[in-house]
Amino acid sequence: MNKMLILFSNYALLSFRTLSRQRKHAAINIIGLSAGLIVFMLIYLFLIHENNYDTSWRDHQRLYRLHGSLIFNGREDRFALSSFNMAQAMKTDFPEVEAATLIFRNSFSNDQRGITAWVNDQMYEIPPVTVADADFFKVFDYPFLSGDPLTALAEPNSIVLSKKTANLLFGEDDAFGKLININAKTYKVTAVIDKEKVQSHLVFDDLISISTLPKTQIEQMRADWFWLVGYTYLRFKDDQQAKLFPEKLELLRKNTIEPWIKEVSVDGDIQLAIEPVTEIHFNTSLQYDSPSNTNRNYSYIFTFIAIFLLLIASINYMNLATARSIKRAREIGIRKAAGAHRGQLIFQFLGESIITSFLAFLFALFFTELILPAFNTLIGINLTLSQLYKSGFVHYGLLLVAVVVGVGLLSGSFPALVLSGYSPVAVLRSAGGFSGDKKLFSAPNLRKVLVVFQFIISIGMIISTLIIADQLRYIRHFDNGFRTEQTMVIHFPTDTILRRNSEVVRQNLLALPEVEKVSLTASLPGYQSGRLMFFLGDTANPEVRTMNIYVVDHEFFDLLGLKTLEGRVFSKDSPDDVNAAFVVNRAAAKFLGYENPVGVKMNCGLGVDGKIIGMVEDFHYTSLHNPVEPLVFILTRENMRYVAVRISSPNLQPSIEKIADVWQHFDQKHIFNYHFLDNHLQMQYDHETKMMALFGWFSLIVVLISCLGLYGLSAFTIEQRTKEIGIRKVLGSSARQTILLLIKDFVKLVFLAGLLSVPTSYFFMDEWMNNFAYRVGIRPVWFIAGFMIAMLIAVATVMAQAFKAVRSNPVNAIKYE
Amino acid sequence: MIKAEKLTKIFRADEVETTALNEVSFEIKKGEFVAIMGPSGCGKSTLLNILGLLDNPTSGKYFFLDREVSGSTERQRANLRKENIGFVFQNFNLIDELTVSENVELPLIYLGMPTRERKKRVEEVLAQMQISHRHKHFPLQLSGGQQQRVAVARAVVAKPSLILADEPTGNLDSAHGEEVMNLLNELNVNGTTIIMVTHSQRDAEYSQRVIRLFDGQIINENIKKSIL
Repeated sequence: MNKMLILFSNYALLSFRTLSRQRKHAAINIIGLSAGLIVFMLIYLFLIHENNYDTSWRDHQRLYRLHGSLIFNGREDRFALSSFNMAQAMKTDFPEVEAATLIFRNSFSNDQRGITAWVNDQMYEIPPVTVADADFFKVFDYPFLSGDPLTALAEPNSIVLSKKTANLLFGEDDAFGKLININAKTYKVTAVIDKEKVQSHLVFDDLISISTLPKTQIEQMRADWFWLVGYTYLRFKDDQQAKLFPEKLELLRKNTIEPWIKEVSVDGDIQLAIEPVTEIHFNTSLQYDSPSNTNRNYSYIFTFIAIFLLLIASINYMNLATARSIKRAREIGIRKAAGAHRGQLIFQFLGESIITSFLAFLFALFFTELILPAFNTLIGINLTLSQLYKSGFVHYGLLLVAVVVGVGLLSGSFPALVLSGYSPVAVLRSAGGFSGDKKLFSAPNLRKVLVVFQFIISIGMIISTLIIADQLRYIRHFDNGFRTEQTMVIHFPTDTILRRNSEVVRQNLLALPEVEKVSLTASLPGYQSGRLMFFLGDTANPEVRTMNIYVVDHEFFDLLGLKTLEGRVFSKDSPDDVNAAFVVNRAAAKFLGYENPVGVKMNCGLGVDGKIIGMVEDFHYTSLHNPVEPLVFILTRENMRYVAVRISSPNLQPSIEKIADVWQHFDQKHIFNYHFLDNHLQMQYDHETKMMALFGWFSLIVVLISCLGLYGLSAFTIEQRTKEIGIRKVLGSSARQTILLLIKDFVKLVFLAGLLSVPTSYFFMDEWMNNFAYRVGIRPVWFIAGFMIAMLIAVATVMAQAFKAVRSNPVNAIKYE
Repeated sequence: MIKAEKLTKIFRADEVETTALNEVSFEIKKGEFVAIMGPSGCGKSTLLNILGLLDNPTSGKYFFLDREVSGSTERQRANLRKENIGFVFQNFNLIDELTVSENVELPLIYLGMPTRERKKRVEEVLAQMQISHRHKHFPLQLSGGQQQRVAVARAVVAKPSLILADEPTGNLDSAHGEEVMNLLNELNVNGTTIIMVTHSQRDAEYSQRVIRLFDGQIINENIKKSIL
């Protein structure tokens, strides 16, 4: 034991001495490994975050969400939603269900603009409220700062605030029991919860009790199984019960829902299913699901990147270590001559690499902490290093330490095996020119393979970044089929007095010289549209089709510049249009089976019964991930959500101020809330934009680490060739000839890597492109560009070294021996 | 052919200043065989480097083929070098990774000679140096004497008017040393000017004139044979 300790301290001392003596090499190793570890840790924190959605609920293994699919005309639409009655049915009809709850938005919209709340004559903007039933906190155990989980949502007009909203409205004061006025209704704060402590797919800010809603609304929802109003969650009494539950759900469908469907005589069906809450985050197959959900493939891609980066950084270490081996051969020979056996030498070299790995880890921790805020802004998630050691997460921290040791072992493995294998006689006999490379493992060839591997990844990542950027540019400049520029969208609060005077507001806005057009509408491109059943033909035996619906005014078509293909759009000259006319897009006409659908009889649940009066050209009202779906427009003067204003003046700011003045002249009770349509549409590609930024940064780091390796390796190779360069110079080689000679070998390697990276990056990018219905395609120019960029950087790296060699006096070189 | 006027070379390292050559002046005519002798550190190799256009003097003038070249650029010196000067070193300075033929061929590549002519010339020179049979071998596979013969072949392949030899027999046994000296002598007889730095009195016997250096200065210049 004592002997081991002495040996170990001898090695540790030697490791530190080697590191401090070979500063340049140590720096390259530590910087490279640090950079790799920084990115690894960032991705690691991200993956920990992604894999811990909904894992902190008490009994989360027993927690499920019930969701429904609607089937019409053989088409199945799968929703994250379910009917109003489901939660109640779960509680009363299924003894194995311990608790169930329903939560829903009053209006489904991805429009997260705030609503106006009043506290003591003070006006505030708070996020839109969400509705939940009394049992919500029986299922989801949010941490309560005040109030009682069992009664918080029991009474009508109760509101549960998030800590954030409570702070906004009441500052340091206790919010419990205080009154808030929203939409001309007074709510009492019954609880404040700390929802930031929980990481969940559930996205809401403040909750109001379901009993607050008007009885009529509840009755309407209760009466219609096809109306998928919200999200139903349930907890089983034990975790085995979920397995048999689908059969029981089928019974519910057969015994309760099917008779109702027959009764209302609709040719359609509902399918029910459950899924564990812990799996919701990675499920992107359901409509109207949580906006925080994401495709698991992104996690896989980032895992690959993290592993590759560590691999690349380890390769650098291996490359430099074996390259330097010639210099260390003497030390090994002496140690062997003095009695060291191979195992001890392997131990020494692995010790060195593990120490280097840990030094790099310390740097990486420091820099990760520095970089995290910027990274968090980039990905829109709040990651912290505390994820590695907070209670319940310690295993993640330990795994990271294991990775660091693993990187050390991997980095040191190859050099350890090669170096420890040197024969002491061969090493000691040759004074300085021992070339161990020629015998063992053919280290120079392996170094070449490793460099090629690094550059395959580097070039592949550059190419991918360029292709992603190209697709995003394509989407940004894609002709959506409607006008988006200079269009301001003002949010219409539900309780505004303007609602009753909307025509007056319109006229006042139009009176401004800066305003060109005004439309009052419930639907706009880029926002979630509703979906509705339409009944075609014979009233006794109608054909049912579900299509997306836009509720608009007369000016809508003109404002967006939609092209009329057949018939006409809504007209003020035809007062009947309000309850007897539909306009459809081309995709809807095709879906219904008409080339010209004008005159086709149709009716829908919103009380419109009449004919299709016109067809407009398709326009991209949802993101370009999807093709244009069938869309039906109906005309209404009620329930407007937005005022869309086309501004003619190029000076936007003064125009906005004037419009705000008009608005506030009529309504001082709400915050003037607006945005621009083109900006809003771009938000649909936030995810991809973030992806591109991440990919860009990561590829930069991959290239950096690869170049660091190349720098070290070329420095070494050139140092080894000093004598040769000197001789060539003496014999009349020009500077250009010498530089070409030196970079030629590296250029060959990068060229080979370029060739090999083409199929790999093509494969991955082709997969990614499939996410979009509209693709720019994979253009060869990006392969060439990616290759050229990598080549330029690689050549510049080696060139720096080559120049130094060329400038040195050949006289010194030829005396080298 | 060569004229040195007050050539001085001063090396500065940190705070120490060493005068390796101190106002050295001499002249060497075309076709001469001159030996430069002196104890270690007297400035022999420094002088040879300046004469071989590998280095510039700190002060003084150096006329090479009647051109003042002491202030010329690296590129100008490189061009003069490859066209006019061949080098033979004590440690041969062959490139280990290249074969005998390839080593000999190098100066011709840098001169831009067409491939066919180059190959022919290399063959001739290797035959002349009696090393043709080893043309595919690598330097490390040859004896010291053979290596030096390759080095001489490389020095003469471009038919330079001047050969600079730095202790050409220093790493060879006496038999191989004599062989190399005979080669140099033969070249001189055929008209090549040779300047050789040596420690060996025996080698110096081959020259027509000996320049003795001591502490960077010429202490004596004696002509041993008449120039033919």
